[in-house]
Amino acid sequence: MTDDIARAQRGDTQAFERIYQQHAGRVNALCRRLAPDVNRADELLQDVFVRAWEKLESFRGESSLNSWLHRITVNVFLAADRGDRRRRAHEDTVDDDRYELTAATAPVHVGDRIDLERAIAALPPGARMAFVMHDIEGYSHEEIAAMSGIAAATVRVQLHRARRHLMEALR
Amino acid sequence: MHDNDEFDEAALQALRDRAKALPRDIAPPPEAWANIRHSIERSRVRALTPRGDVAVAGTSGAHTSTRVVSGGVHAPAPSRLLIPRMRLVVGVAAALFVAVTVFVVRREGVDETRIGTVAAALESLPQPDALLASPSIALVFAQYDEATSDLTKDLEQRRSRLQPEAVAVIDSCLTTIDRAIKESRTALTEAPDNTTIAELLQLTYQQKIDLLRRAAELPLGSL
Repeated sequence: MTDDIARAQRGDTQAFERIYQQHAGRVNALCRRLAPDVNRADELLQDVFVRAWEKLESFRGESSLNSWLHRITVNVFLAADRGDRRRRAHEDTVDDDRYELTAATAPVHVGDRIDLERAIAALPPGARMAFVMHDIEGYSHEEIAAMSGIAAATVRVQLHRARRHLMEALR
Repeated sequence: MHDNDEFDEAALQALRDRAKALPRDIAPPPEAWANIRHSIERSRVRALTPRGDVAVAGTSGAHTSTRVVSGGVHAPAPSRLLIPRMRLVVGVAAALFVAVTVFVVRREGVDETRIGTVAAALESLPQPDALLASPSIALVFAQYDEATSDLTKDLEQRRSRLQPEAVAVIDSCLTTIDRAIKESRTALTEAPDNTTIAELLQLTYQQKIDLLRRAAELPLGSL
């Protein structure tokens, strides 16, 4: 894998394809949970790997490639979410309260993972990111803060909010 | 604030357990890599700036993606119309290349054992710097041809056993790429110090190798 990274850094797209094959499943799982729907998840996955190709020179191996890809995923997701928020603000139709209403009233039933996935998808974006990165992917508050550029205290608040929504939704 | 303030401990633990049990790996859609590759290839040829400069990305490495090469600083500029025309040809070659990539990637049963010569071809491909530094451009041109010769021979040997539609697509792409190579060579002969043309030539040869690789990956009679 290290050899493939070095080759890809020199512009070898076949090496990059091997990197993709090895990591796409993990990254796609993250994309599917961060994005609000499958179509956006597919777009996010593609944007992440295009960005990874563009930024590969900056990868120094100080973290695992998987963590580095997760960091890119979070950043691409947050950038897209900021764009969505700007559009929403412009259109003045949807805000976080609407998300709360969706999460609280979504027809979710306890018992299987589909319900939990659905409940996660209904979370507000910030809370969703905090829950997915912390409770599913296992990153600490500080690691999430470093990846996303959001204060660790804010990550804690968002995680708390996410858990509250999920426990209400799955009750 | 603690993570679990105001929560029932058992309920919180149950939620965390369910979260941890979710699959960490979800197969991506099958067309995702083709789309990603399309975007990467498209980024390799950048638009000319108003000054006639060109940025070539991914030619010798991902780190060159933002490099802008000035055609007027290091070398005499070729005729005003030449670079835009070459860019057009290379762009068409890139588009065709993407088309054949999607065409081939969607097929199953790729013969992985046939691609061993590709790495060697890419390794032996001279870098643009070698072109600019060499006292004999013709010698470097010969090295370029040598880098693709094994893959070209391989295609010729397999040609009659491939489906005609596949051969037609490959030939169409090769014709366009070879035309771009010819134009780049002519331009470089006229302006041997021009970095822009050297990088365009390198890029086009890389496309040719990638195309030949895909042709080598096609299972016989599979299309």
